[in-house]
Amino acid sequence: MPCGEYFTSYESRMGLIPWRTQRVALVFGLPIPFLVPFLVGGGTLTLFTQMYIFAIAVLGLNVILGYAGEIVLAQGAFMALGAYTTSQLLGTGVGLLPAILLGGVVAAIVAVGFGLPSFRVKGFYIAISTLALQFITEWFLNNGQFDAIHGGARQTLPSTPSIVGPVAAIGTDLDIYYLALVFVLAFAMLSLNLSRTGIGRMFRAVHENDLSAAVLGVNVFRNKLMAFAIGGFMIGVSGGLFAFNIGFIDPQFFTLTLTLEHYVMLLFGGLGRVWGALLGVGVVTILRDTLQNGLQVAAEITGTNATALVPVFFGVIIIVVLVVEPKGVLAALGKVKEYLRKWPFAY
Amino acid sequence: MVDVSTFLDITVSGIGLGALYALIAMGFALIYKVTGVLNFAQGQIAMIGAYGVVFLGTGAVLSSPLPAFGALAATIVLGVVLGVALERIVFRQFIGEPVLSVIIVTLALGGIFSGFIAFLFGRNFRSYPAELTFSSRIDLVAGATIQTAFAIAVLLALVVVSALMLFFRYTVTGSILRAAATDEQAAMVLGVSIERTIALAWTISIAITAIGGILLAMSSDGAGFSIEATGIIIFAAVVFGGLDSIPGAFIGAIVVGLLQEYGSFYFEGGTAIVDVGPGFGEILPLLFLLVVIVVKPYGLFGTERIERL
Amino acid sequence: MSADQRTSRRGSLGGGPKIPPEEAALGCRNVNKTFGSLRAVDQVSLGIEAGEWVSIVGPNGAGKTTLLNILNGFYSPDADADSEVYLDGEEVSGSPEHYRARRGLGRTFQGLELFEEETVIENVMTIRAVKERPNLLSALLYYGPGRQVEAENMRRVEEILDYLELWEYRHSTVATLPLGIQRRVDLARSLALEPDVLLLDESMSGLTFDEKYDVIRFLSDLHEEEGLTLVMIEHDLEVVTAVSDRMVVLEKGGVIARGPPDAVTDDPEVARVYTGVD
Repeated sequence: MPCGEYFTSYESRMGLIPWRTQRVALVFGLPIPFLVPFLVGGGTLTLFTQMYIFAIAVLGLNVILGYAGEIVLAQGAFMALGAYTTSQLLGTGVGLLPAILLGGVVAAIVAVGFGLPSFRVKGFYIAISTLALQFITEWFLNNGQFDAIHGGARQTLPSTPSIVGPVAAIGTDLDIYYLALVFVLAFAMLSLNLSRTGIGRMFRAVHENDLSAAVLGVNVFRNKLMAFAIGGFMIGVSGGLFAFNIGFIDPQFFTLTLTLEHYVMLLFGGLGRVWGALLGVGVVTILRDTLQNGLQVAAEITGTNATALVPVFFGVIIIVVLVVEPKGVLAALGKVKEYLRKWPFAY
Repeated sequence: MVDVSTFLDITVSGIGLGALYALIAMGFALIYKVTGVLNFAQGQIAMIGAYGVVFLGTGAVLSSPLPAFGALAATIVLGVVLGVALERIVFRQFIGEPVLSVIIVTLALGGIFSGFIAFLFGRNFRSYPAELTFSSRIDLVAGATIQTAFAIAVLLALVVVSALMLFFRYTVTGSILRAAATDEQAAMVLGVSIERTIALAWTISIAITAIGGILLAMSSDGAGFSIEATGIIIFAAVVFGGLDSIPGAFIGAIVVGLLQEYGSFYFEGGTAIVDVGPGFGEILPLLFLLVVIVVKPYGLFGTERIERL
Repeated sequence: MSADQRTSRRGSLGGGPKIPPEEAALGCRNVNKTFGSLRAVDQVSLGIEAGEWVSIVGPNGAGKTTLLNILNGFYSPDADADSEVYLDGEEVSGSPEHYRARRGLGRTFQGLELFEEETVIENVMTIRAVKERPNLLSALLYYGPGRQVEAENMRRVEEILDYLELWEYRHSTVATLPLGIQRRVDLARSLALEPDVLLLDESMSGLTFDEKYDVIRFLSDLHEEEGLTLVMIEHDLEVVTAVSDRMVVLEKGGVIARGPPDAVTDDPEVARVYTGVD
């Protein structure tokens, strides 16, 4: 706590950025992502866009897993629902924004549906039922019998749709970058707000001790469903943006590997922390990109299948993080900071 | 067009497939019963078994492969070693950690295993050495026949389920395992050395899972990545059976095997009554799983835990 | 043992509830609970008047905690019995536990059951949020009413922490605190509900004499100043006789005696249960 600053009201103390230094950091930090497109080239810009889109999905996972503690193994399925809904709706000409948001709504509805068993069972059962959802979704999307519903397994999205209805076409890399940035900032803000209000607290209470929470007045079932809805919506929106960014969709994009990847991001940064999730997405996306390029080179030189090793690295990172610091890198950084603050005296 | 002899044939192969799943499902149930670990990597471990034979017994990777049956034996030994190694290196770190961490660790292990296999073999089908493929089918009564791999699986699964039941009921180690399963820390405090018994459980579990994987591969004359999906299909079996019950896992697996065979015969392709599209055979057990979770989450033999405050 | 047999065995202090359960601040009638073959609670009826301080005593395994769990809806009583639970005149037999908590039934736990990874202030804020929470939209936007509700909750929670002398621990993670403080956090948490009736499940077990003294001081103040109705499970008979208006003695799931502490402790039946001497 810095010296010389005092709070005179509850509201100022409960603000997100209560200290002067933090406000200064925000003023200088916030414009950076908006200026990025003027500093980096096309390839890197796309990487950033990708990062923001994944960040939205990981923030959604953070609401369900980090806050409410429900193990959901259907990141791929929820994103696919968002992506295919968006693709189908774009064809009707409603515009990009409504299509993406409705994609989120569809994912949220399915997420709530799969949260319903949590009325009777917990934890592990939700993990398996959502894992089953993942497999069923993949089968459903690959299945030609259902083309009328999902519009075919492989689809190309219109490259320059209008934003709402017939107004304002967008489509350049720069447009998508800003669209994703706005979405990720909005969802990060919403997650932070959720976390510091009663609803977020109740989610965490459900996570930490659902029995005593219920006896003390928390409607556990309702809160779980709410977490599923909010998280599912965010993941679905991320799926829609993902589809639009890539320009075409294929069930192969939305497999269990994607779920694993998002778990790596969230666990690496720190479960239940918005800044942790964002940090995790940033670090892991860059790491994966570097790794993929490196393995690509290795694959060409050795003539082996080296790119298939990516999940191996992810798996190892997850296990190492869980063994060394289950609360993620952000918590570890906090410990380092605390150590340095007290250094050289350990008290 | 449901005619009796085809129905019988499908039923027989359903039981055969179910027996294969039973090995993998019992591997899961055993570990859950003893250590409380919910192993989401069963499918990948089965795949290690299946591809282990390809690795050791064909020229896919090694320049001088072992003879077929040597490769088979070596793979099973490999499974045992893997079981011990996993317990020592990974799962010991997570004793007493929240369920969430353990589940994620097994998922991560699954990713590691399948990544390695994809690295070594690509995601393609790899056929088995000729000695290990059975072109002939065994004749049963009433004109029904059964694939040799399925027949072996049925016998083996029966042996394993009765051996495990007898083991838990009548041996000292079995009762130690039961004690450890009830309360790990209490068992430790009472001086029961559970380390060795837990290592034993992992060994048995991974060995029978790997054998299940090998037989699964044999039934289609070679190893393929589709075996990975077994990991989720057996959940239908164990949840229906009641999670920590070994006979429950066995019965559940038979039910699931039957469902899959009926599903793929009567609901997909040219033989279908209602064609729902390719791959429905594997989806039917998953739909069954969802129904079980909603209707009877504690399964056939599972007991509902009494929560205390 | 059937209910009839117990009636015949009852001492002079048996009899029914003090007031009919329907009119009580918290009451139940003919409640049974069976676990497998074990009858944990056997035909218990209670009627606790508003403003009373009632202690439930009995040997281990007498069904005290199970009875509390039934009263606040954590367990549902056996279906076959014609059992009823009343809270402030309303029949709540079919309502879930969270509803009863919001209707003014607080509870502390024998095993604490705190949200261990959170700070003290977060623990209390969580339960405060049950009482008065912003709607989802204003919470997500943190604007307008959502913001005011949070500030008001924080003010109220700080009062409670102040009252229970938890001020210096407010930013500590609960898991790191000593048992005495954790018990107080548990109490603070249930006070955040602003309950009319507070169920205390051995809230003094494991405490030192000083800590016990403090807890009794807090409870007495609440009882006298706020008129809080207290239902307390407690093993320390000295404490029980000193503070409570009435006692209920349970054995093997059934009520064997009830009444003012002095009369109950003199009852030969109670003495038999406690000392094993006839």
